[in-house]
Amino acid sequence: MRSTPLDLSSLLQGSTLEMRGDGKAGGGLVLAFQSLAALMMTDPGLHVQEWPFFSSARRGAGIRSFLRVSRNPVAASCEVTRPALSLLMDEAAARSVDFAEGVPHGGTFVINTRRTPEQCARHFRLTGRVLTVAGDDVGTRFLKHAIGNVSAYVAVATAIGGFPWEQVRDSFLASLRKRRIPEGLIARNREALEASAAAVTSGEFDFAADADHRAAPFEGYGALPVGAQTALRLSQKNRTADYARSGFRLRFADPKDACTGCAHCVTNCPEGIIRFRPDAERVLVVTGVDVSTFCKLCGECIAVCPEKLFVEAPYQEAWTEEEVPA
Amino acid sequence: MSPESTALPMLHVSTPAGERYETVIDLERVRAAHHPLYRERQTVSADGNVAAALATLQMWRCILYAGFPITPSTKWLETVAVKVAEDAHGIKRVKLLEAEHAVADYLVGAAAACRDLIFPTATSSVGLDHMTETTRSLGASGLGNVMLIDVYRATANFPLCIEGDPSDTLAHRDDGFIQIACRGKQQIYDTILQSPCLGMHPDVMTPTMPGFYGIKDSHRSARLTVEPDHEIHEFQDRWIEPCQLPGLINGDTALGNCVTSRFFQGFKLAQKRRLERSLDVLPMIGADFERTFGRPGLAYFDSVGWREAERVDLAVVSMGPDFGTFEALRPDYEKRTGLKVAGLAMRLLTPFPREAVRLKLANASAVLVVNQAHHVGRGHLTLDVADALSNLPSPPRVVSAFAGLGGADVSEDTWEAMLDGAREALDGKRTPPWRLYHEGRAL
Amino acid sequence: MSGYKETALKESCFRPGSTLCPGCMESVAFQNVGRVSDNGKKTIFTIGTSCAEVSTLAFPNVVAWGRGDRAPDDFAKSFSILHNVFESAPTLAEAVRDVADSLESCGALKSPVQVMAASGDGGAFAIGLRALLHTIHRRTRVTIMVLVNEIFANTGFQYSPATMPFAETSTTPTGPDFPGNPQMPLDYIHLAIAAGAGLVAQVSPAHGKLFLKTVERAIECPTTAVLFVPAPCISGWKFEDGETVELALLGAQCGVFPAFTWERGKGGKVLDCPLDAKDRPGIEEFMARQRRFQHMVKRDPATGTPAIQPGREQAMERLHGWVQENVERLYRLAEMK
Repeated sequence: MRSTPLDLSSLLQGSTLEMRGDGKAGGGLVLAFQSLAALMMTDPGLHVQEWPFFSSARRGAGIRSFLRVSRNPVAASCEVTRPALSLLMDEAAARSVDFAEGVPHGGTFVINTRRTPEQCARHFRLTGRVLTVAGDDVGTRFLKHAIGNVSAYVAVATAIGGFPWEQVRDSFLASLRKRRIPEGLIARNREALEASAAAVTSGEFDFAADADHRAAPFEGYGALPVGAQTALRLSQKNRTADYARSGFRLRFADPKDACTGCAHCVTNCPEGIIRFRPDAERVLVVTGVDVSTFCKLCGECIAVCPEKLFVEAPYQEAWTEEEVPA
Repeated sequence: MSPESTALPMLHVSTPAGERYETVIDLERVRAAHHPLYRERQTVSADGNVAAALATLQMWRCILYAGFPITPSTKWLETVAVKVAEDAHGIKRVKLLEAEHAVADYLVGAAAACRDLIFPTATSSVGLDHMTETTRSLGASGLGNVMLIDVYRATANFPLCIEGDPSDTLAHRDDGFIQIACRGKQQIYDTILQSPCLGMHPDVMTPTMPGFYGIKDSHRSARLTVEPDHEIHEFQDRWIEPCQLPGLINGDTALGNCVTSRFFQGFKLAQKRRLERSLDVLPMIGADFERTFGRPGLAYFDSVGWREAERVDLAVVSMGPDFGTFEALRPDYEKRTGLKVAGLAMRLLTPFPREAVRLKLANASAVLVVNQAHHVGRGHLTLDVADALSNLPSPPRVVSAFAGLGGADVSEDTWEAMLDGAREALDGKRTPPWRLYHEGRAL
Repeated sequence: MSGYKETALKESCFRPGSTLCPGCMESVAFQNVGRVSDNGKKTIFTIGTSCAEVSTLAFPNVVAWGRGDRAPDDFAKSFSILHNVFESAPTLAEAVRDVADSLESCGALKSPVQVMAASGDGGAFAIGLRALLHTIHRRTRVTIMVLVNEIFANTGFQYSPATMPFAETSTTPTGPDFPGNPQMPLDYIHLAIAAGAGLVAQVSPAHGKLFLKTVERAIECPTTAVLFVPAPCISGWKFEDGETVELALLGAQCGVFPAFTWERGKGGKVLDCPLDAKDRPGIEEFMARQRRFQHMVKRDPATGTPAIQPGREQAMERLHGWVQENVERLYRLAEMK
């Protein structure tokens, strides 16, 4: 091990513990960070600063959250750029950001995934402590919702250490009660918390090269267009397929040539990405969907096709890009 | 009808702001459709509003005049409306919107639709305030073909005052417009003819806000020399070329994008640089105007009473018609007091020509700044002047005065009192941060 | 008139890659309006600040507009879009229209241009009501689209003048004395007609063919055409994935936002929404699918049928009353010529 792992709880006691999270809007990142902030505040001697990077991000879009904890009042107001702990809430988010950027060697990585710490450490080239938990599965099992915030919260609290389990658990349940969540649901959250604690696995690894995970230096704004006036079609580069709910993709299959050419899918697709070919009788026949770049998995085509040719198919977030076969 | 049969292949050019279609708009047809107001140089009698209106009517690039009436700029719109109505088979049109907010939005839409036409309007005071969200946007937009004539009037209510002081324009400095003050009918007319040349310059691309005092200039008539339309066109056409960036009609483009904090600052920096570039371009246009028409053109200020390479005891910095009262009594005051007294009537307000002002005022022992707009501190102009002088090894003392707020009369006695007040600085006495003067007395 | 399928073959001026929520009705509306406007005339859009704007016009890489994959050689296929401030879309459109007309009048512009304005109900009915009504009043030859999701969605789903009675929004939250929004919604259809519009319609892409035809008629209108597009908002109304189009249909059929078309001189029709409440689906099903109404109606987990929440019976009665009034008013408006 090239560098000893950072001792997070002594950072917290001694100076400032800084954390950062990457995820998708609606994927539970903000909830996880808010729960962590609330946990920190159960210690009256701790000061906390918690916030998401402000943007007009909507459901599915990539977001980032920050948390600073210290025994001294937190005066700094800048972004956290060298977090001792980085949380990856949604693997898809890692396609557009380096969630390990700026984390010092020996830092801690918490990842919401079914994969193992070693698989993650190798793939993302991580040096330090890696904790994983299959949070979406816990969410599905106990809360009927594939959302990993409960597990992420538990995993990060475990990584930091210094808080007895009861405090970690009860702080979370207390904030649910404050929001007047019914007791039945609180009980299921309690089970989710317990299951999460059992599901966290960790290891220490050293796969990062020196040059990895460095923030690119700011080279100036460049030539910005006057008045921010631009050409059109710049969204070609915005891969909104990452908005799709983790673990699923759209699949179109028409082995029996059942498409009637009704065009309802074409008309109702918000992204306009249904592919078709002209047809003498049916006017048009659907051939596929541009899934890997733009499909947000809104489900309208699934709902509207009279022949039920569109389905949601389970999809392991690929680390190598593969198109779902048409 | 199938789309194919109306396909219109057209040459298009890539620009950083989208595609521009070269031949969609034939500007020569617009120029040809212009009916001149004057075919030769003439002298007419005009008040400030009429002078401003005539200047805009004579431009072939002005075909749509959007406006909403507010005292004291109403007569600009009325004059334009009358001349447009009198012009048989002309293409100029007046557009009466329901509020100043609509006027400002209309200017954006029009200026973006065709970047080679000039879209003027005139307003005042709270009318300008109504436009603010859009004027702050215009300042950054690159739409230098918008010209917003501000007929200065005291802004705000409690109490309401409909007479002229530059508090409206000074409250809008950060909108980002190039603000140029005028005094006297000729300067108003001349400034408006030159402003679009500055605003539409490819390095500047910033809308302009020429302005003059309500009542003291807008409602007083004097002699005005008007130039023939074709000579104005020749002059303007030397400076105004077809815009390289696309407009809505001749473009495949998006205007009005939003950004995050990652980029915003970069755009503001670029906007500021374009604004400051007007400091270089303005004197060039002014020089060309003088060569062409034989009268002084755009300048940073009017200088009065400065002698070559000599020091002056007292320099006055102010603006507008009340400066003329000082101008008239200056020689007599010099004689009586034995002091050397000079003055600068500011014309370019934004961006403030710091360097040029410093060069001039470095030769003065004391500076009297007369502010005519309410300010929560020592005065807008005072702060600008103090900033301009701040790097001098031994800067002159700055004495700050307020006079003429809400169009109050600034009499000769008031000027004398202000000048006498400034002399205290020459005598080494301490002066208060600011003093307000009326009817010959400091209050 | 192009057929429904033929329209699907057109090139829309709206593209994928926007940051709009998955399933946002506004993107469906833009896709379709985008295709109908591929008709041989250059299209220019103006847009007010809204979800639709910040999610489709963001530097550097979210400009989700443009016909075809690159700037077209055919001028008529080129496209421009302008955003200024919140309420300004109709005024901006009016200015573009006037400039194009002035250029045409002296022969400087020979290619026809069609101009469309898009606003949310926040921009059009609150701060922008002045701009909307006056542009209509001046008989401006533009098409004005108002995407009605009954909230200020972009700023976080606050109350708007179009909010349904009793809906929970972030500024009309529910509490013991507060069952959501206490206001009756603005009668915007009536206002548009009274202001002098040449065509007024309320229809969403859920009424596929009708929507496309109406957009086509709107573009051809020689004065102002105003299109109110009911736009169920998945994040603001809080419903399940894949239900946007269904909810738009249900809301229209049960009388909350009935499909309506009207042209000056011809009169109009209420479509797919009978006058008699008995013949319409009840609003409970519509409400049960949206968590913004969960304080009013909840689905019984055993039977699956929507049931009125205890203590909300009176409120529901008032809501039924409003829906009936709403439908009757549209029938009366339809008779006006």
